[in-house]
Amino acid sequence: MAPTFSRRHVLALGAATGLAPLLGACGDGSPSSPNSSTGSVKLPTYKPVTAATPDLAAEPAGVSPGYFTYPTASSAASQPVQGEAVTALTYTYDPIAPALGSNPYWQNLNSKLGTELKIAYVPSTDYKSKVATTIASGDLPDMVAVQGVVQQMPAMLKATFTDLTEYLSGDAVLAYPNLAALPTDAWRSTVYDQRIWGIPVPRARVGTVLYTRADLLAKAGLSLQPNSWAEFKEMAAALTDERAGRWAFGQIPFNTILEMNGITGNWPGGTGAWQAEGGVFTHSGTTPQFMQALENTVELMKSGVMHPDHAGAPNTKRNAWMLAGTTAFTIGGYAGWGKFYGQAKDVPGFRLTGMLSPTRDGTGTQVRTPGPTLSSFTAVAKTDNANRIKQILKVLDWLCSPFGSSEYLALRYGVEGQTFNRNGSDPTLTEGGRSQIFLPVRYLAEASPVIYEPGNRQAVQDQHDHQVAGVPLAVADPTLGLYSETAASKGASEQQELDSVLLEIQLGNKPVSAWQPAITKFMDRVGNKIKAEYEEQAGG
Amino acid sequence: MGEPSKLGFGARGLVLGLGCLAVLVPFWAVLITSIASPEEINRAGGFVLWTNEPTLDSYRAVLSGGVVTRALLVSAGITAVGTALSLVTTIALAYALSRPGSLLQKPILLMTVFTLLFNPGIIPMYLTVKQLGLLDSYLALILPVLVNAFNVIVMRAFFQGIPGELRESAYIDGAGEMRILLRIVLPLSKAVVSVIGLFYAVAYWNAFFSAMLYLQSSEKWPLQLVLRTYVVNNTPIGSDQLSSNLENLPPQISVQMAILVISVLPILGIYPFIQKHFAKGLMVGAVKG
Repeated sequence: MAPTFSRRHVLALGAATGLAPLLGACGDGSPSSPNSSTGSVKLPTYKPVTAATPDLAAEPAGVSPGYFTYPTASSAASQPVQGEAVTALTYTYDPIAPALGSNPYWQNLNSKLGTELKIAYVPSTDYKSKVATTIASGDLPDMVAVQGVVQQMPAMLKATFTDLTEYLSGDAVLAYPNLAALPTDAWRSTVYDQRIWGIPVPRARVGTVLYTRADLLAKAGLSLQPNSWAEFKEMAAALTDERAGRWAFGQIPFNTILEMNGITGNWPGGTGAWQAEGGVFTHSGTTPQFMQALENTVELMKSGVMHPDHAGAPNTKRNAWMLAGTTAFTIGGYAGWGKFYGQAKDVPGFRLTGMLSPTRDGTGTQVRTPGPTLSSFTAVAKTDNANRIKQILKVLDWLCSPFGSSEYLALRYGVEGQTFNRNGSDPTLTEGGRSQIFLPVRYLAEASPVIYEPGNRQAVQDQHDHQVAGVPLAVADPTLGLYSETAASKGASEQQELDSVLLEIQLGNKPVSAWQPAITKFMDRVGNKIKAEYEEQAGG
Repeated sequence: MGEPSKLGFGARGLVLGLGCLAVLVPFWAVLITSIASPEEINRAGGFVLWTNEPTLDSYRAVLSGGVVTRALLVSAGITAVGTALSLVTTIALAYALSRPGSLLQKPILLMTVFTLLFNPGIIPMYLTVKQLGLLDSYLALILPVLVNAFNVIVMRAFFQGIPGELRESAYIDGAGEMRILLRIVLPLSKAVVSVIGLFYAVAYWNAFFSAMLYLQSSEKWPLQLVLRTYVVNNTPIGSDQLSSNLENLPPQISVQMAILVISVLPILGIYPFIQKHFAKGLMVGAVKG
């Protein structure tokens, strides 16, 4: 009964077993990944498709289009895909969906698609173990969502998945119009060893948002956008009233403080911490601005504007504080924005905006840490059958149908009268539809995000405003498209150590001076090696 | 030790009462939060201890679509079948190992203890399950964890504690090993069997990781894995991921507490009936081990 191994199998196994120590490598939902040099591969040509004219334009570049109402559905260019069933493995952030037999939404999707889509999925938190075992067993479905970066990533991809370069590079992608509409930066994160390995599931580049209860600030007569560190502190103090049980923050706004000091990075986790100038990479933790930010954090903590239970409070709790008005801010990824409206439907006057980080003294250029370019990319299991590959790409192309198309309606809402009804032109899911659409097709492939909050103009406007103001401030991540083996294999544990020192300093358990030895140790152990690897690839 | 004074009596009552409260209040909070209205939860910013407008929305949200109900049946089936099979194999092994002079007793005992110390790890386990053709089968949730070495050791110690004379007299009366086990040993071992049975049942009931690895079709998922998708997936509102249309669901915390109630109820229902054996069964194993 001994398992039999081929050479490729063993290689894949080695790469897969390497997944385990890396579970924390990318932190929660920050899958923006450093890849190997994209130097010589020609990225897919970008050619946007729109099925409907937006109410708020997708300008400047990188901003998502905004829609106040659902456009009258029209069909996009795609045709149903013929051929045998396609199997897929992906993750989900939703509860599970009813099985195909009792899921009209899924049945409708299959019939519109023209090909049966068989999806296996597991909760996102367990996905790494699932992928590791699946790859190790060599028994791959046709499509696999690849999340994050693992040890020996290029070798693992080469051993397990199909090189899609000839199908997608340059103008070849135009055969799949919806894939050609995916943003170039997202494609960058699918390239390893100068080959394209998958279809990105793109994300808005806005990144982490300092969610602001605009109605509470307005009530306190405060501006929605402080213009300096001094104004920021004043605002926080004005929002705090300990006796009334109100504080400004439920969580240390450390990223905002970093940006105020002119540097980028998402902490804990340290994603986006590398900066580059003239080919020289610097870890922002080693800069004097970072020390300054630590000093500022301690100062803010001492001023008592932080909820007393902030340490260790989970996101759900912090969000509940913000919804209850106990705090005026919460911090979270941009993609979570739309969810707050549903949760706040019983909060009178609720209005949510995003606050940008001012510069320290109110002059100079504001900076912003960009979000991840993608959530994951979907790779195709190794096969030499060109027709099969084309069929799978067509399925993925169909899944990327743009907002406003009839395909999109089938993907997000299902069957009119059965899984959704119309409220004006806006589709509203029925009770049954709500659980049926949990089928995670959108974690295999989807079109670039749009801003659409049915029946809530203000919400669309606020999100669009935040993107218009925030996206141009984003400092490009120089590690995008670069792959560091040291970061993938050893970075996580060292980063954890760094994060714990950071937390101790923020909580006031250690002096700010404790940072210097910690970051020096980090650089000695892995940082300098990562820097060298990045610099070599960026230069070469 | 004389009668306690009134003051002493009151003080003990107070301490015990506080102890009970410390156990009961969290349960109460979980239950009430699961039925509280969204406004009350928003107002409290977390757990709620009293509700004026009880609502079953959270339960409705979790139970709608039939996924949870189905998973409940799957879990009950796996727990019942798994516990029965585990008990049979564990009793057989433990009895054989408790009898001096059984065939290959020492090597088998060593092999059993070995599994206590060394775990094969995820990927070798997965490959074994795959090679046995058990992927996507309910058996994959039962066979790999059929015998637990710790339980075998506890049960063996209990069997060894049964006086040898009983067995010998049965032997003289013409009973074979099988009859001795069924008619003499097992009736004397109700305590340990019910405790080990409970251990197995709880383990089968709570298992989600193996189901996640081995079951491809989500309609076969047991309750814990299904509920996990509600609990862990509902949390990252702050992460970088979108979630489909969760805005229509009741508050996360209320849904999570409803899930807690659903998943704990069956075990809570069984426990009182086994509890009387519980302390005794464990103690015997421990002391005579």
